[in-house]
Amino acid sequence: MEYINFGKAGVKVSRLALGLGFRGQSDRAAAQRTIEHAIELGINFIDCANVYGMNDDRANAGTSEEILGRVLKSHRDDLFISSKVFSPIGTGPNDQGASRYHIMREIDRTLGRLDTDHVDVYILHGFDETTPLDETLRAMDDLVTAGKTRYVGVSNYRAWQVVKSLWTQDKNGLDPLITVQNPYNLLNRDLELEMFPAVQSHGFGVMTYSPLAVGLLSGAYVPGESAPAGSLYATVRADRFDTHMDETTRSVLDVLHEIANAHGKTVAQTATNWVLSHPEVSVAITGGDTAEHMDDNIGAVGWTITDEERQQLDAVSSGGRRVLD
Amino acid sequence: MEYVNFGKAGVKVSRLALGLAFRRQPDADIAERTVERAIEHGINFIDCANAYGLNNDGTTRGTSEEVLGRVLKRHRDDLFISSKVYAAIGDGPNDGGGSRYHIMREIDRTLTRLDTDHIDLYILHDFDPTTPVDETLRAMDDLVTTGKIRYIGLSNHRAWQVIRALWTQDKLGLDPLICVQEPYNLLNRDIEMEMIPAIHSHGFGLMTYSPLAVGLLSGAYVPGEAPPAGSLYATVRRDRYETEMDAAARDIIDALHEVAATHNKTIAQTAINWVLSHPEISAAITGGDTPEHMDDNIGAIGWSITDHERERLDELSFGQRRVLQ
Repeated sequence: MEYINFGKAGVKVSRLALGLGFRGQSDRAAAQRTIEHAIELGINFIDCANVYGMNDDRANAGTSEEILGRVLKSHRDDLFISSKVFSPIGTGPNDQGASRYHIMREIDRTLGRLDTDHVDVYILHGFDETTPLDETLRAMDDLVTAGKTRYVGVSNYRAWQVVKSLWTQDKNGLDPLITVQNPYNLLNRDLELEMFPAVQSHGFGVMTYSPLAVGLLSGAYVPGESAPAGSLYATVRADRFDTHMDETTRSVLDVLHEIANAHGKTVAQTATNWVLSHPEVSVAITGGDTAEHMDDNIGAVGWTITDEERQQLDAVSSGGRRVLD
Repeated sequence: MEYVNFGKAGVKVSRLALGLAFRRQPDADIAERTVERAIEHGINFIDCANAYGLNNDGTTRGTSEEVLGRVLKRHRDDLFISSKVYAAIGDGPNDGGGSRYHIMREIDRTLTRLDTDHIDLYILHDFDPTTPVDETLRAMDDLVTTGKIRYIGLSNHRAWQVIRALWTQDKLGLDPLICVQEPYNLLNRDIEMEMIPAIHSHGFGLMTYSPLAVGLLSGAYVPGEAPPAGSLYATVRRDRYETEMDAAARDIIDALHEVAATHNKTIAQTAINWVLSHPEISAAITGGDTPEHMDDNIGAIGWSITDHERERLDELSFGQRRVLQ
């Protein structure tokens, strides 16, 4: 496994991280084994959030942290773990957002579920237009000072919001954010326009999620065929299959298949490898519901697509910026 | 004519500005009369650049400022005039960019061509990645202090670069920029993603250019017909006509025709009216080569498309972000 500095920070993380969305997993023991197996494969970066839970169902919010907590019992000191705050965890007026009130309450709940005294990076899960940025970033800084988190990050921010956050932190002498977490894949290259140059000029890296575009690039969907029975695009997203499996997606998949074959890899591994072929990306988060998924995911690293293959994929996916979440 | 505060600044400008590119006008006298006619119509905001010239031809750089200089003899005290710096005006290593060296030399050349002691707004025509932001913005601040310019603006920057400029100015106590100038039309709504929310949060002025998408929305081009003889898309852009006049462009032009007919306006006037229907936009820059063009342009204001019409145009142009310069 390749370990790199996490952006400007000194800490070293694996370029492949495990995200605990558990989209298709309802069994806690299997989920725990998934994490354990990721660790065996050399992944030291586990990405979580207060809202993540079994089956990626908000009704199960918090269960991902509980499972990670069980893993921490045997691995706490070697892992780099994140959690996030901002998304609604209830219907009350203060059950979401980035107010000091909500952040301070949620970090304690997160630490309670994880049964540990700190997370390594605490990430704002979205930009809160209703809360002064000062308030949010001062609260995050206080968490660093209090030792409840080691680092501060943001997710789903626009590039200008990242720069404005850095400005606010600089002006007030607050601990600066060290990472941005946003979606990036062959169907959504939005980050290239503003985020990559913005964060690069500040010397830190992007951690990306959704390398397979919510499964569209997983290899499960074959151009010209209907979505396999039981799959996401055969069930809850059935109405969107034809729109999303358009000419561009089909071309991207065709090229991915060719490259994957040339390297003896899967389509999913190749799509993730393309993400990691960008030096602006420090870490790619991949999901996984089972230990076998981890064995598959790990095949995305340890090799690289050639420059020519990358150019081929770049050309066929040029300008794509669709939001699939 | 409607006059608005230019963003946060106290100065009042007409919502319609005249840009002095003179794409197809080689005659300085007609160009001068065009500017005069705009002023008669109540336009007080004339947008220029050191690189602009008659026929928009690289060999005539500076002639637009000379034409404006002739107009200033009669109108200096009531106009709000801009110029720009950054674009290459020669082949030398310091004949372009945002260095103090280049800025200080170019402002003096601009003031000489205009034969005046100051301009109202000096705009960085693009972002210079090779010059420290500090250097550029300190030079601009010195121009304000020495009275050579009244205000500072940026053009063709990304939203994060704008926020970073504001950060730098705040940190160093420099005069802050008051406006951003970017392209905006029914075929390029890119600024809605990042720029508009970014500058909205700082309350400053947005001036837009290219309301007719380099003529595609001028009414000269009719969906299903060949471009008229002698027009831009029948000559220098002939190879791009079919690509640009795609299904989306045709639908937008058809809808513009309908809306224009309802209000007894031209489609160009309607396309500009759509731009100005956005309250975030202080001023829309329109081009014009003859006094008659000014008579036509002025019909873009003094009325407004209905909410329903705006929604329809919004829907048809949703997601359009093509670069047509």
